[in-house]
Amino acid sequence: MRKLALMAMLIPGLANAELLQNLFIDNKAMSLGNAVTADPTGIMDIHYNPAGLTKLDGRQFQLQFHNIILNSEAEFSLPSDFDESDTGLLNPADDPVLNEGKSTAHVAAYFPGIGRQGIPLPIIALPTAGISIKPPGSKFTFANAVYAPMAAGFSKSDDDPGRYQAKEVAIQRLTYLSPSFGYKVNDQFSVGAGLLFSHQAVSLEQELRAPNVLVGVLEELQNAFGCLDVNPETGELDRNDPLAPFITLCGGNVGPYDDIGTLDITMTESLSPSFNLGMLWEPNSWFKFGVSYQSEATTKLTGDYELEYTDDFADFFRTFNSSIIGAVTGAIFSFPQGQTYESGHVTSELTYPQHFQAGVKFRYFDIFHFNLDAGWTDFDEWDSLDIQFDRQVSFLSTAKILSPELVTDTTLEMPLNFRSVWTYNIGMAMDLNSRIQLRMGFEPRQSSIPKDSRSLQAPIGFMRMYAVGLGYQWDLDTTIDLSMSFMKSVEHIKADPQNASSNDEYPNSSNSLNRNCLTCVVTNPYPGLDVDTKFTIGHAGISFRTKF
Amino acid sequence: MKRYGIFSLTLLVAAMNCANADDLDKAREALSKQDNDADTERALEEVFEAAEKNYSLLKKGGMSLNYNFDYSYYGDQRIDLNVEGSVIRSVDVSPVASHSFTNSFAFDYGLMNNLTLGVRLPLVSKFETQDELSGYGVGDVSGTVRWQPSEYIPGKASRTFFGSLRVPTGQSPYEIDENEALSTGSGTFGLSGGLSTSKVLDPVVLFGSLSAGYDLPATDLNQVRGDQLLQEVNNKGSISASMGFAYSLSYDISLSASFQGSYSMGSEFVLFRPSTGQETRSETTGQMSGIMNFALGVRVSPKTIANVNVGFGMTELSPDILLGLSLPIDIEGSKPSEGN
Repeated sequence: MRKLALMAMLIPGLANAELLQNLFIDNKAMSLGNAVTADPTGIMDIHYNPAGLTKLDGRQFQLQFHNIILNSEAEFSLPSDFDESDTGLLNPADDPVLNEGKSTAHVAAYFPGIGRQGIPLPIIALPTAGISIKPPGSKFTFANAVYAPMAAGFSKSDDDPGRYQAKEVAIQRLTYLSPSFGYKVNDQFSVGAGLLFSHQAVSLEQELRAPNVLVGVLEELQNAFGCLDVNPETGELDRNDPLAPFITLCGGNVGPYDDIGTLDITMTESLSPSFNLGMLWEPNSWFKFGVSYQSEATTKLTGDYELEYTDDFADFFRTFNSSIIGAVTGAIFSFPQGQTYESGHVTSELTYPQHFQAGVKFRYFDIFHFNLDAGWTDFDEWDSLDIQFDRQVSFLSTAKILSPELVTDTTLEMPLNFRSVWTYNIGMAMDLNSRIQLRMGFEPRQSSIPKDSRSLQAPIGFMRMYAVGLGYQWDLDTTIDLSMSFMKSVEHIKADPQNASSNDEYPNSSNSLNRNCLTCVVTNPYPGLDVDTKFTIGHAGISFRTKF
Repeated sequence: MKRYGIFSLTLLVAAMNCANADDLDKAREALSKQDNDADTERALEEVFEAAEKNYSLLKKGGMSLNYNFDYSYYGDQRIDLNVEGSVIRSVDVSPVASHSFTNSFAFDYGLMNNLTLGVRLPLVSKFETQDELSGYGVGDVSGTVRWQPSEYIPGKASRTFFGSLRVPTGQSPYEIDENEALSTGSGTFGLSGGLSTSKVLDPVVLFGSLSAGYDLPATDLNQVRGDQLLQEVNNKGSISASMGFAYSLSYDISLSASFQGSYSMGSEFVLFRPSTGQETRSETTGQMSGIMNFALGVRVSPKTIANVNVGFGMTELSPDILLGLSLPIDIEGSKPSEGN
């Protein structure tokens, strides 16, 4: 039973990754809609196209700040045609999240050595820094930078209605060492490469519940027994078990909308190597062509898990197992023993997807620039996440009964169903004078998450990023880039018709959020509800690059 | 047999002829430089310092950054027994190979003329063939202090006291699923200290050291070991000694040979069996391990000496093959040159 909510947990957290990939790395790139494969940006060409590093003379230092305002909201409501007389044993109208208002989230991040941290600030500043060195007369430029090629994290308050899909989550890749070089083959052609050492983290905390018909039956039985009637004399619960010692169901209050407990899982790899390659061809003054490739990295994540159960849940099973029927069925189905805490070590494998991007840059009337890129990210790799536990975990043993194809006593396979997508990027710039360049960019960001895998934490359908920016040549050696950008995703994930009962009949819902059926509940903590999500990101950044 | 002998002799002669013709000038040049005694002695010390960092100190304010690559290989036979009741059903002996690659960066800073601080950051990659396991990660970061109580007088033996602290930043071997992952660190804080000494007897430097180490206990563990849980590891400490010599062949090339021996006094493991609630303590006995190492120092530029070393383990617990490369990274050179 517990598995329902448990399996729901990791999926939405991971889904965030797509959202924040290729963002907040460089201000010039942001303001040109990331269409910079053929238009070198500076030291962060380590990421975009290492061949562009050849444009950096002498010894340079770059510091960037990205100020991000992030707003994530979700609202739960009953479908407009909801008929309470037609609900059966699981009545979505009983769901307490309907009365808990709007779900809101702020930013969270993973700090190596410290752990996952929620950052309850309206604005966060993300710094990146790098240096480049071109020895006098050399065709090589060497560079190194510290940055986060993938970062996403959310944190919600303890009573937030969205707490059943990651109360707090952080998934990020922090590149702490990135020795790279650009080599100028001749005036028209450059190549580049880089070796990246990164820290990969996947960490989350989630409240668990099991909104399932079977648990609904259990609650009905408890009501029928009068388990939870309050004794008028003592003011305490009666816990009157009429069928004891054959079966005892009154140890604790359980039901489809009662909390089961909290799962906390953190997995990291402190050294995850990958590489970048790039080339840049500049045949004349008005045309440039660039290609770059970021390799995949298979990270072997290791870490810990902790499960803390509510007293009601633990007491229920402890009492249940002490009855005759409970002892027999409990042994057959490996029901929880009534412990309030479980912990251990976990191992998993996550592939940081490879990315390919190619772009052109046109320059016309000397002062106008037009960039067009196309990029592909191999999110097909994110088919599922398989977690290996180091011991038999009682929640897995229980979950195995309902879903033997996904769960064993020590492993958990969580379907992600991501798909690879192509994304296009458009950037335009105008040289106002020899010092100032005005820029604007547009990136229609395709979602890697199919419609039926959307979740509360990744309500990311198609997102448009609009950006403007400015490049300013402060003096001969110093460049300043400013950028501002905005993107928004609004999703309406409707519940299915109430009488839907087979896979063909789930036209609206997401199988990672609000589907309501006996066998697909595992990833759905909000069955039968309409979920409306709104996600907005505003960004303003400044970068400063100078010679030293 | 005879034919082989003749064949190889022919080859050898051919090679000697070649070498004679090519290298006569170079050898002459190298010998002529040895005329200057002070020069060779300084060169010898430089070579020695490059090979044996623990024996040398930096001037006040001096900084050095070194890159080291180390490879070690353990080969082993593993016996898998399938025991049912008291009957052994099948026995499978399979070879196991463990490869370990460590890229490390060591930074030293001269706080005073006779006091040098250092820090070392290793990046570890490990592979094991039998279960196809791999582990990548930052290893244990360590810091050292080296102190020379009295000023070095040429011709006398130099003495350096050293102390080091190891911080368990790597993946602990006690906090992973042993069947799925490999550790990249030791899992415990470690303290060690000792004395090293060296003496120059041109063209040879003799060196030796003695040290003692102690690992802090690893507690609050929760690792599955069969049907038990490992809860605590208490190490009892170790004593290490090393000795060797470095010999300068020419201004450009030197050789060194060294032996390192270490005696560890064993460890205590506290295990808990959840099914019975029983706690057991098991102890390992003291073990000796020894390593023999040979290094070649080559001057690759007037200021840079690269070291290549090859070694082997002399006991069961030591690696079978050791390979290493050490290179200084020129951090002074990244400052702007004058007039730029």
